[in-house]
Amino acid sequence: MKKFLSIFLVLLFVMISFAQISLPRNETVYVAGALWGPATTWNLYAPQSTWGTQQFLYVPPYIYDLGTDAWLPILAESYKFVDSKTLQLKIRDEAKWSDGRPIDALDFVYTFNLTKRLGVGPGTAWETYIEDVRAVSGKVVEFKLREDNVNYFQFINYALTTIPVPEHVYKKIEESGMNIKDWINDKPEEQVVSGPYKLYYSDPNIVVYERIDDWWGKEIFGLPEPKYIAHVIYKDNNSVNIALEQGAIDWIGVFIPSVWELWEKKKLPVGTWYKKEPYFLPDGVGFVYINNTKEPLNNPAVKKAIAFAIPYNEMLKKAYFGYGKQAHPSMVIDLFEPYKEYIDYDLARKVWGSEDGRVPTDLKTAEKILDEAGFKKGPDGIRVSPDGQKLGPYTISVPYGWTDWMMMCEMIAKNLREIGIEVRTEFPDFSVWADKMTKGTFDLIISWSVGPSFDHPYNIYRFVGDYRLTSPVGVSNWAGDWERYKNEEVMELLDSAVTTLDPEVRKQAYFKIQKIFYEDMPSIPAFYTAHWYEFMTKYWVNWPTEDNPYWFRPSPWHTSTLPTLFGISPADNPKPVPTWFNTTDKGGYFVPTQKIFEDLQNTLK
Amino acid sequence: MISKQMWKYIFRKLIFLIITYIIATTIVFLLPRIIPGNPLSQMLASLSQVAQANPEAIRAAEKNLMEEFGFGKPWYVQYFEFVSNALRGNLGTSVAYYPRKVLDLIIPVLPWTLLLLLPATIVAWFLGNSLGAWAGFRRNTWIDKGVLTTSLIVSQIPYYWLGMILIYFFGVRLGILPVGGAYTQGNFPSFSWNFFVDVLKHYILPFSSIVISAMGGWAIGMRLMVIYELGNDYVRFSEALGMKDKRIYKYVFRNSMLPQITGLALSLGGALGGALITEIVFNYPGTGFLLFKALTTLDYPLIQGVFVILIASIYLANFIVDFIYALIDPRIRLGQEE
Amino acid sequence: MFKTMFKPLFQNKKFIIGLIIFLIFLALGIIGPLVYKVDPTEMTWDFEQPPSKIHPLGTDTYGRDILAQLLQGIRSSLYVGFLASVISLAIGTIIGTFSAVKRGIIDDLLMSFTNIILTTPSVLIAILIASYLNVRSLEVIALILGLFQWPWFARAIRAQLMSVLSREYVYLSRMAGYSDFRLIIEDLIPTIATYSFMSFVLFINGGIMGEAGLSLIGLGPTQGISLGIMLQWAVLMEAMRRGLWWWFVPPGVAIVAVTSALLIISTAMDEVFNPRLREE
Repeated sequence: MKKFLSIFLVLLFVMISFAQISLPRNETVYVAGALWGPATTWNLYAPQSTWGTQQFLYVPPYIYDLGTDAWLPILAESYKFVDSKTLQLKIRDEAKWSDGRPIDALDFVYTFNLTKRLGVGPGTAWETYIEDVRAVSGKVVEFKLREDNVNYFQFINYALTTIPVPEHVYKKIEESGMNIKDWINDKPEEQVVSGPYKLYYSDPNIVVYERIDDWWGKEIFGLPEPKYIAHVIYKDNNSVNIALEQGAIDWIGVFIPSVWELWEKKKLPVGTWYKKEPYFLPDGVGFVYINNTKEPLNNPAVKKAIAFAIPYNEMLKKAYFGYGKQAHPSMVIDLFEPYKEYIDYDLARKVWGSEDGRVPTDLKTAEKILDEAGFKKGPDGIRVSPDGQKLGPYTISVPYGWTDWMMMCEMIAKNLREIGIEVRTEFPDFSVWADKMTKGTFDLIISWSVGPSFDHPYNIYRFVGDYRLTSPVGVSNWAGDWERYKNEEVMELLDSAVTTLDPEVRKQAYFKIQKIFYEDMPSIPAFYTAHWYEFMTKYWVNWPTEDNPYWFRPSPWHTSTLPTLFGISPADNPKPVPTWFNTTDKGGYFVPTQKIFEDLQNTLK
Repeated sequence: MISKQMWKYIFRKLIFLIITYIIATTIVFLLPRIIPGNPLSQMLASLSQVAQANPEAIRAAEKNLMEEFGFGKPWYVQYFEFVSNALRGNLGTSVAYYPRKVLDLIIPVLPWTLLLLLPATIVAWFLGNSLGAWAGFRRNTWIDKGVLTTSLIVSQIPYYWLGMILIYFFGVRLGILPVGGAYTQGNFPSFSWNFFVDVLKHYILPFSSIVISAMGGWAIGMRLMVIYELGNDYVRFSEALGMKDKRIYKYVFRNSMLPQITGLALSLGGALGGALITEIVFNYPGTGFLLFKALTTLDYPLIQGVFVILIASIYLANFIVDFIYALIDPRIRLGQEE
Repeated sequence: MFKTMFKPLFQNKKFIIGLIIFLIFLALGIIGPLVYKVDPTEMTWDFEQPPSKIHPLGTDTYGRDILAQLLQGIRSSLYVGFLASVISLAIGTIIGTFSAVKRGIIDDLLMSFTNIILTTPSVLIAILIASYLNVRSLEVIALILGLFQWPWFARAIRAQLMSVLSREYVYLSRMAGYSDFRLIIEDLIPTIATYSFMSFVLFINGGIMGEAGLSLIGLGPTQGISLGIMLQWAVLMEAMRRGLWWWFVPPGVAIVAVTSALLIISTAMDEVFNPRLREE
C-alpha cells in the first residue's frame, strides 16, 4: 500500500511539472465541417485523402476562381499554347518542395504516369483527354490533346489543375516494395509538400496543420496569416454548432438551422456570405430526377406538369430555411454574373411565362397540360394515360435522415397528388436510395448534380443529358445521367460545344440544348444547394463575404479554398486583402478563362 | 486456494464463452453478406459530389474500388480469409477511411470507451447495491420507500435522453460544463495536471448520465435480494440465537451480493450498448463514436472489426466476473454446484 | 379464483398509481389522435413556436405540431413495445416449456442456445441487424427487439415448470385421474401467469426503450412517428443548443412515464403475489 502511494505521488508530481501543450488561440484558425471521422491518408493516391491534403499541403498549377471566372496561378508561372493541340506550363522558378528540392517538369510527368498506372490519384482518368505529358525542360511541362477525343474543357482542366507529387519521395516508397496506395504519409517530419502548410499533429480527435514559415511562395503571395489550422473532429452538426456558440470555432462549413438567430437573437460575431436570404452561395443544382425509362412517367407532358406542380418557393422556405433559390429551368446557375450570358432568356420567358424565365408553381397550368395531353382523371382522382396506364403509384425518395430533402419530398408529393399523379414518399437508408438512383430503378428522387465551374453549363448539360455517361437500367453508374435520358441531338450538341473554339458556336449549342430540354424535360432543376460557409470574427476578420467578395469558394471543405487563408487576418491586427486578388488587367494575378480561350483560338490564326 | 472443482468450473465457462464468441462473430460476418447493398456507395457519393466536373474520374474510381475490396468473391472464401487474417491480427482495411487498417482505427479509441464504461458501470453497480441493501434492511421505512420510488423512476430514464437533458441544462443553460468531446479542443493529450483536470471536466456529464440511469436497476434488485435473504430460516435462527444485527447483516449482504455479481456479468452487454449511445450523444471519441461513423457510412470491414473487438472484451469481462464469482461462492469453491 | 387473486392487487397503492398512469398514456395513444385531429406531418408556417393556444406543445422546425406528433408517437411506441413483448413472450414460453417438458438432450441444447443469446451483447446485434435492413417498419423494429429479450424469461419459465412438475402433488393429482388440462389450469397458471404478466410488462419497457435507442442513432423505423423518432429529429435540428425544450422534453417524459408506470405495476404485482415478499 505504501509503495503504491509513493508511486502515485511521484506520478502526480511528474504530471504537475509538465506543462499543458495547446495551440495559441489567436494564431490558430479552428475549423469544423470538413472532417467527420478519423483522418485517412495524406497521400493523394487514394480515393479520398484527408481534408487538408488537397487544400493546403499540395497545390495545383492553377486554382479556378468563380467570382471573376479566372485562374490563379500557384505552381505555374504561365501557360503557352504552342498550337491548338499543345499546351505548355512554365513552373515557377521559386517553386520548391518543403525539403528544398525544386518542383520540376519531371514531377508532373511522374505524377501523371503514376495515376494512369494505379487508376487513382491526382488527375484520375486524364488519359481519356490527354495524349501525352512530357518534360520539355526542367521547368516546362507539355500536354498534348487527344485528337480522337477532343474536349477542350477537360484538356484545360486536367492540365491546369492536376496536383503534382514529389517524385523523389514516391520513388523511394515504390522502391521499398510498398503499395503506394497503402502509404499514409502521416509523419510530420517526413512530409514533403508544395503548399504553405504541413501536418503538425493528428489523432482521432483533431488534425492540425502548421504553416511553413519559409514557404517558397512567400515573396509572391505572402504567407497565409494563420500559423495553425486545427480541425476538431465532431460527431455531428449539433456539437459543431454548440462549439461555435461557445466561440471555439472560426471557420465552418455546416448546415445550421435558422442561422440568422446566431447574430440576431444571440448577438454572436458570426457571419455568412450574404447577410440576408439566401445567406449562402450556391454550391450546385438540386434536381428532381424523373425516371425516363418508365411509361407513362416519361411523357414530356407529365414531366412538364410536375415542373409546374413543385412548390419551389414554399418548399425552400419551409424545408430549407430559405438557404437556396429556385433553380433556373435552363440549368444554368444564374447567380454568378459570368454565366448569365449562357441563358436564352427570351426563350425561357416565352416557354415558362415568368419574368426571369423560372417555372412558376401553378397547379392549374399543370392540370391543363395533363388534360390537353389526354390524361383523364379517374374516379379515384388519379389520372390515366390515353392508352390506359395509371399515373401511379409512384414513389419520391431521398435517404432517411436528410431532413430538408425529406420535407421537400412530402410537399412535392402532396402537390402531385393534387394534380392527379399518385406519389408517396419513401425514405430508405442511404445505400438503398443510392442503389436505386445509380441503377435507374427509381421513379422520382431528389438528388445533386454538378456545380459552378469554368465549363459551366457544359458540365451540367453533360451530367444530366449525356446518355454515354450512363449504363443500362439495373447496372450501377455514378458518372451521370441517372434518369437515363437519351437524345442523339443533345449528344451532338454537347460534342460541338467542346470541340469548337468559337465562343459564339458554343453559346448557340447551349441555347439549342435549352430548347430541347424545355420540350423533353429530362428532369427538373429545382433549387440551388447551399455552399455551407460560416465564420466567426472574434479572432479572425476579413472573411470573404458579399461585401468583400475576394474569393467565391470560401468553405473550408472545398478543394479550392486555399486563397481564403491569404485574405483573412487576425482581429487584433487587420490587414487589407492582398492586391493580387484581382484579374491581370487590374494588376492582380488572376487570368480570365476568356483570355485562355482567346489564346487558344489565336493559335489557329 | 483454487480447488480442482473450481478449475473444472472455470474451464467449462471458458469453453462456453469461446463457442459463443465464434457463433457471435460468425453472425457479425454473415449478416452484411446476406442482406444486399453496396458498401461503396457512400464513398462514391462523396466522390461524385467533390469531383463534380469529372464523370471519368468517378467511373475509374468505382472500378478501382470494386477490385480493391474483392466483394465479388463467394462468402465462404471471404469468411475463410477473414478468419485467417483476424487470427493474425489483421481485421482488414476500412472502406470509408481507406487505406486505414481497421485495427489502427479502433485501437486509439478503445481506451476512451473503457474509461467511460468500466468505472461508470462499477460505480453504478456499487452505489445501486449499497442503496438497495440499505433500503432492504430498513424495509417499509421512509428510506425504503424513497429509495424504491426514486429507483423505479430513475431506472427507466434512457441514458441518451438523460444525456440530452444534462447537455441542455449544464451545457447550454448554465454553461458550466463542457458538453462534448473528451478534452478541450486544441489541447493535445499530455501527461500534465491541467490536461487531467480538463479530461475530468469533460468526463462528468457522460459519466453521471450512465451512473444515474444504471443505478436504479441495481438498487431495485438488491433490495429484493436482501428482503429474500432476511426471510430465510438461517436469519431467523440467528436472530433467535441472539446474534448481533451487524453480524447478520454481513451474512445477508454477502449472500445477496452473489446473484448481483452474475447480474453484473450479464449486464455488461447492455451497459456497453448504453455507453456507445452515450458516447454519441456527448461526442465522446470512443468506440461508439467510431461505430456510429461506420454504420452511417456502411463501412462493413470497420463494423465487423468493432464488433469482433467489443464482443471479445465483453466476454473477457464476463469471464473475469465469473472467476471472481467462483472465488467468492462457497458452493463452487467446494464443488457443490449442480 | 381470479377474483380472490386480483382483489389484493387493487388494495395495493403502487399498483393503482402505476395502472392509472399507464392507462392515461394508453388512452392518449389510442384515443388521443382521434380527439386531437391535427395532422402530425402537416407543415405550417409557424416554425419552432413555443407552446401556445394553437399549438399546445409548440411546433418543430418544419412547423409541425408537437402534441399531434407526441400522441402519434405514444401510439407507435406502445405498439412497438407490445409487439416486441408478445414476440419475446412467445419465444420464451415455447423454449422454456419445451426444455422443461422434454428434458434430456433437447433441454441441454435449448438451454445452451438460451445462454448464448443471454451472453451475446444483444444491443450490438440489434444495432447490426437494424443497420443492414434498409426499409424498417415499426413491426420490423419490434421483431428485432423482441428477438433478444426472451432468454431470461425462458430460463425462468423452465425453472418454474420444473419445480412445479416435480412437486409431489402434481404426481398425486395425475394419479388421482385429474386431466392434464385441469392440472394446468389449477396449478400451473396461477404461478406462471403472474410471472408471465410481469415479464410481459417489462418486455414492453424493453421494446419502448430499445426503439428510442435505435431511432436516436438513426436505425429506428424509416416511416411513421415514434417517440424515438421525435427525439432523433430534435437532435438533428439541434433542439438542445437552440433551447427548443418543448420539442425534446415531452417525448422523453412520455417514455419515462410509461415505462416507470409499467415497472411500478410489475413491482406491485411482485409484492402481492410473491410469497417471499408478502409481509407477515
